[in-house]
Amino acid sequence: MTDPQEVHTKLGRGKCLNRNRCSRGCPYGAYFSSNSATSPAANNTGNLAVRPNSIVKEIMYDEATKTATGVRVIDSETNEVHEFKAKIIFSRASTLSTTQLLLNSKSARFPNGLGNDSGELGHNLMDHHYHVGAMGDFEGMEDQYYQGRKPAGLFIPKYVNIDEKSKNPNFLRGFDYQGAGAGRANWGRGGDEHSIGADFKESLYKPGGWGMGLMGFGEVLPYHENKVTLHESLVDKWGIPQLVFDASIKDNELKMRKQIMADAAEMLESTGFKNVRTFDNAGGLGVGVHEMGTARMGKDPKTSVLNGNNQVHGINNLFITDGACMTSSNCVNPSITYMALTARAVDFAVSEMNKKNI
Amino acid sequence: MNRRDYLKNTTAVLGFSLSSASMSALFISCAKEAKLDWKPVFLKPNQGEIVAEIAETILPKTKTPGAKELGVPQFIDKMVNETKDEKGKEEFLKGLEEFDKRCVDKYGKPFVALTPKEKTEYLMIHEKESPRSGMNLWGINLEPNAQKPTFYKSIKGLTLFGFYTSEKIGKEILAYQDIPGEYLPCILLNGQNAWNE
Repeated sequence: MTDPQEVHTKLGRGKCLNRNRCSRGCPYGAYFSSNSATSPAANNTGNLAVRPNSIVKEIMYDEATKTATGVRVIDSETNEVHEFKAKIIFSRASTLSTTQLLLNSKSARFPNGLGNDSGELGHNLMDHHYHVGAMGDFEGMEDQYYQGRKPAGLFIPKYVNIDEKSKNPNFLRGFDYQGAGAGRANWGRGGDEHSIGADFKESLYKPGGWGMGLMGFGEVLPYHENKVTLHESLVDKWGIPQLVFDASIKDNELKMRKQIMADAAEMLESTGFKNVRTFDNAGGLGVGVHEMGTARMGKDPKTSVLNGNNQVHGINNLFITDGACMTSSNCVNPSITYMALTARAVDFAVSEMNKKNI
Repeated sequence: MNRRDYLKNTTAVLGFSLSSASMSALFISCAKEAKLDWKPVFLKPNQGEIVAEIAETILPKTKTPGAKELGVPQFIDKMVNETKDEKGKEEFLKGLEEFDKRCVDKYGKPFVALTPKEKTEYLMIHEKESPRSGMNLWGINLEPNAQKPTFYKSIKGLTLFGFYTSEKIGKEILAYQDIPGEYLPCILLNGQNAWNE
């Protein structure tokens, strides 16, 4: 956050001081997190209750009223099982925990997992594929430097397959780039310099040459066969069946990666970068840590788990608003989308409650 | 995407990702025990002495401290002990043994007995044989099939890592800013040293 507004400062949040220690937890609340932003805001309403050490094992369902009635919780400290009843339930356990929870919530009405009439629960698992792009060195500008460890980089929005003109014949959907902004090499460059000794040591005190990298983030299509299921016998220490992953990136993603690599190299070369190197190290699905899908929204209850308001089809008081609801993955970091969908679903739920529909 | 800068340099310079495991000891042929003023946790004293001499030859004392003065050999000993798995430790010791054996073959004496000029000359032979590091961005290894670092390349990486991230160099030699505050994208270099990062 570069320019805190009143809404932020009221929560005790301040501006970024360019330490780039975000991964250790930002003491200024400049880096958005539940700890710095949403939890304090929720707490300020006076309506927040937090019950720690709670492993939600299943969501309870009442066939007579066709509603979710509450959650069954294991206390991780005492192993006691508690039931909490609620008029309305939102699951935001995170994509795969939500789906694991639904798959594990079985009843006579829903023998294959809560809300799983369509059979789509657990399917269409997505992520972003990355570790693909190019990097290069820039000669000159040796008298130029910068100050402060700016934690953010550059961003190049999606530009392929946004209209007829930008259509790429080789793949569907698209990608963006998140750049490690231009910077000067530090002492680490010494590893590859075939040099040692006094002058070498002293030279590494000085900034090295300029370089930058472009890292592509690509969309993964929602393939039915990319799925998670519950293991038949393996359970965790609370007796909850473990998830089994069966998923991979496929032809569309592999073709897209070639374009990501070529475009990154072309951009760097035409900007004047030298020694441009491309890289493509796909790894498996999950590398992007942006898992999405497995309880997707849709108009047709036969092919989706949630409706357009994030309600589980046929269970009006159960909402799923984390990444499990996603129908496609786009190519941008998804958390803000989840938050927007949640705000929208909450607004809808309140209006439905006021109308006595829930 | 702030996890990107974590260990930004170290993955490239070390050529391995960190893991932990127990130790296994091979040893280098040696006549008498070396006298160290520090107690290695993993290496034998003679091995520790070779490591110390390699590190000091790569980064010798000048008007600023050298590797030994900053405890880099101790750091390497600890890093190998705590971050390499059993196989990695074996490889390190095997590499150290071969490094010294080759030295004896070439100069008729072990590395620690070489003159400073010979030490530099011998290390430069290893320098010329060192493969380049695999590509790396945000601490992510982007070239898993790149040639594995040789023993010499590994120890050089550990030497640089221990030296340039030491408190002394980081705070007193490199340009140190605990809390930068403003980000200034374009400033004149004006002869300053690199930022500590």
